[in-house]
Amino acid sequence: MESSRRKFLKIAGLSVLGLGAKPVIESFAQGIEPTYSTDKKALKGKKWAMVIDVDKCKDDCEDCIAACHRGHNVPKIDNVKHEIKWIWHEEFKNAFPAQEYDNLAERLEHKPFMVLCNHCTNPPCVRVCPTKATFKREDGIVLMDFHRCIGCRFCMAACPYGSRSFNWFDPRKYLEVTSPDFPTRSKGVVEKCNFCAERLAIGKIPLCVEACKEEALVFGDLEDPNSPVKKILKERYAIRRKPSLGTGPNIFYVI
Amino acid sequence: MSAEDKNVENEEMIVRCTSALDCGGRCPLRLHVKDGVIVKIEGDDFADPEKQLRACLRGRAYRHWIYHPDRLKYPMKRVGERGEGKVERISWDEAMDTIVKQLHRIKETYGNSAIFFSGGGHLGALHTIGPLARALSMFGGYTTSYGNISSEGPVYAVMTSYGDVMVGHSRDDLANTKLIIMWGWDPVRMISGTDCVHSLMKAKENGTRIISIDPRLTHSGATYADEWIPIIPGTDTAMMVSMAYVMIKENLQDQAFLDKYTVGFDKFKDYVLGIEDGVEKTPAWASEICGVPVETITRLAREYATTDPACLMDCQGPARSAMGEQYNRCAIALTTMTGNIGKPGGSACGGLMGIPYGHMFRSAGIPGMRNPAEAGGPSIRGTLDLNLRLVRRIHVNKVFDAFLEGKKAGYPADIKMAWFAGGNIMTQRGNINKGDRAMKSLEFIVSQDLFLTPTARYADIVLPVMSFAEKNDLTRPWPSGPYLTYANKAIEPIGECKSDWEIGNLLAEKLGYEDFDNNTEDEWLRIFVEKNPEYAQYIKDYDTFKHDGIYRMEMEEPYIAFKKQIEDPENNPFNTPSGKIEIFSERVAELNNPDCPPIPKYISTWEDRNDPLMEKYPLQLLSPHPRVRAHSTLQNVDWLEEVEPHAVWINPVDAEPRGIRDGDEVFVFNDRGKLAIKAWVTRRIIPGVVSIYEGAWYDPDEEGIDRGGCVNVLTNDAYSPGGAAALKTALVQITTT
Repeated sequence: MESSRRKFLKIAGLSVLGLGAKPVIESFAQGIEPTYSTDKKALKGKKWAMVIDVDKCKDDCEDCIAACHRGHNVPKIDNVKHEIKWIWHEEFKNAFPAQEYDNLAERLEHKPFMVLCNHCTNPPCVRVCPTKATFKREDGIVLMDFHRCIGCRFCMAACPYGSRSFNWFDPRKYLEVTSPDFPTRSKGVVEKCNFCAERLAIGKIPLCVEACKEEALVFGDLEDPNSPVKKILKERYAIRRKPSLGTGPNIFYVI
Repeated sequence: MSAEDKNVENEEMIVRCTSALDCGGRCPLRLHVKDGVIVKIEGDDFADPEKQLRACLRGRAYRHWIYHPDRLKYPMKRVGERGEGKVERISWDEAMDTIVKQLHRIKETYGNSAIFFSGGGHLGALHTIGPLARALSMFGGYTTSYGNISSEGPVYAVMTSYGDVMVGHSRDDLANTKLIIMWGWDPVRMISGTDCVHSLMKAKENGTRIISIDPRLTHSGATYADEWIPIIPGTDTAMMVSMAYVMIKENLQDQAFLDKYTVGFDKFKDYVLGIEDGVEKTPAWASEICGVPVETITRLAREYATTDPACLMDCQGPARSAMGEQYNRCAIALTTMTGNIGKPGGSACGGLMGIPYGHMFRSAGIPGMRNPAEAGGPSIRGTLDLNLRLVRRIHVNKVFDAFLEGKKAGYPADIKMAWFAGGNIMTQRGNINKGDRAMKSLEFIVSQDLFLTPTARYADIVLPVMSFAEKNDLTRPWPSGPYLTYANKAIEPIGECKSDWEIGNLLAEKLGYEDFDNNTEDEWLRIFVEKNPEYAQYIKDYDTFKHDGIYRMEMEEPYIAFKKQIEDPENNPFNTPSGKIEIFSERVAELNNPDCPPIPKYISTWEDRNDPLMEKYPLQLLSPHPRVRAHSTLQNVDWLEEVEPHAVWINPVDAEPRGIRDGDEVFVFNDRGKLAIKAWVTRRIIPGVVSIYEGAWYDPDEEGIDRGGCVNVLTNDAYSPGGAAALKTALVQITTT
């Protein structure tokens, strides 16, 4: 079953979802390493990260969210308890609770901050996943194998950022259009931002970054001194979400 | 055959089933069956997702267990040495005739008490070892063990304090509390009821603060806890006693609750304050023992005493130790002091977590009969004197010793033959190398199981047993419902497998007992549902129950242990001599055993950090439940092995000076045994402690080194004064060569 499933995924062109990657940082699993071919144009990194220039990000714009959710077949469910989100907006006090203070700059206080999976250096979700359905890839992306997810939601309890959503219902019923470029999910699995691993594999940058007309979102490799993210972080002060937890978030907010 | 018929035949059926393994959940499963083969297993599909009983990774992997290539398909007889595992196929007739011949020989030569019988494995109503026990009783009886390897510490504690084992809240009540202290409790791993982890998730979503106290950052700690308080194994009671000290000194205890509902708090207070023995049980005193900083103990005591309601969850793991019952008794003292008993969001502690809705203790079964070999023993009903229980029976953790030493060492019998109807004793008891000698000392052994387990490898005759998917049965959640399940048969038996019930009937037939059992499977199951009070109360139509595979009890509100006793104590006394919660127990005082005091106390013991043996074996050993097996069941299932390879947890502080790197093969040993295993170097366990999950199969090489990593080659076959198997009181050393 294992091998046939992987074969199917390979045929379907989805092996980039990371089945071949070394699974979990905390294990010495000696699983079978499937072979798969990679696109020559594929973007390769050692530690993918994102910098968000908060001042450039317009309050009333949701282009990045729309592009991401459309491209990844994220269902639109209005009930807050059951909604699915990969990127969403959060106020400063919720996004950066320990960094809030009285007399916070007005432009920040009620600004909708764009938040997503932090692709942590020490991801707590990976630590608790009992089936290795979620794992950290060598390029830093915290990925999910939806087929392995048993819907226990331990990752959701462990993630301090609320970056994960659970499909309480069949998400396909909540899709107006279905993108052929990304698989839809079934009921009973968790999902979250995948840093557009499927696009990096064919040489494209993440959808949210591409969609941002203001160029507020910058994507790149932290290990590459010439990468755009590295260049910005060399000069600008940035904050991260809940840094004291030791998760090592790789989404940086230039404020 | 017409084309339409063919279609029907090829159609995928969904069979509603559950497992019957000895695990913490009982999960509704949908077995997809096509052409007589299970092709897929899915979990619960109940419409209300909030009430779904979702299976864990084990349940999802059963297909690779049911269809495992190593499944026993035919009766086998031993052709090699005991323990070698060399067997040869024989017929059922030959197998049963051999057994009957040996039964007669043993009985005539040594008497019935020389026959040892025990079991475990299939937790159902019908296909159990009950009929086999009945047939053996009709044959004149047998000797068996006393107690449960898992839970005797908690049982002793709750019987002392409350006189009742139903001390749990329904798990949905976890969402009603403000503080959860998981003291040694790791439900993510051992489940504690199928609905438990979902309820913890809801608590977390509600903003409930969750604290984990454990020598390891457990999977539950990593998943739910806001704070991990690491503690030295075996010292939980010291920390609890000092929390009581802080509460008393700062007058934080609920004195009105104590006055109204308990007896003996003053005596406990005298001990805590040092009036009894001159030692004040301050946080500083405890900190020296348990390794938790004084400030943390003080802060937690205040937080627990002043948060209302607060839920202290002790459990069974830390109680599987040399003074195990003290931990549960002291947890009960703390929840009593904080007035959290009988109230939503609180807890009664005591580690058992059972609720009287669908509890497995209240299941149905074929009526048993008195075992003649136990006749003439003392009355043991309600006694707290363990010695009385061991007049006719062997303590569950002393079976090997009894095989070897017999009556001359005070055991009730000289055992010559053993019949293990499931229950993989050669991994699941302390001191397995003694077990190797013990099993080799017997004249005849029968084992019935799904696999050639380490126990079966010693047997002269091995009988192949069906999995839960191959028969119809009523199953029960482990400690908690509220629901009842019907496990439907999905496939025909593999090979010539029979169920434990069928084997019992076959034995009766071979022994010539006519009219032993004239009911069919379906007749029995219908009788159970009609006659068992709990089934009869809820199940109005057997066929609907069978079709649905589950009956979910509608609860108006969460079940709260002892709610009646707290709301109306006049009319609902506790089932203790005083009618109150007994922090001090007169019955225990009468035993006059300093290691089993009438009030809960911290008592230093053998193989703890004060033992001079620390010089030779400086590491404390833990043996928690695995996440990828149900005890020793599900061993060798590839999907499960892949997600969590067997390894010993060791802190870098202990690993580095020994030259141990992550993934290295290491040897863990003490005077009782030596095993080979891979090392997982992790800060998730405190220095000075190592941990190996229980249940891995014993597999000794020529030198006697266990290559299977069975932790019980290192543990002791000892028990606490209250009867807890002291499997977590052990010192070891680790080396790379």
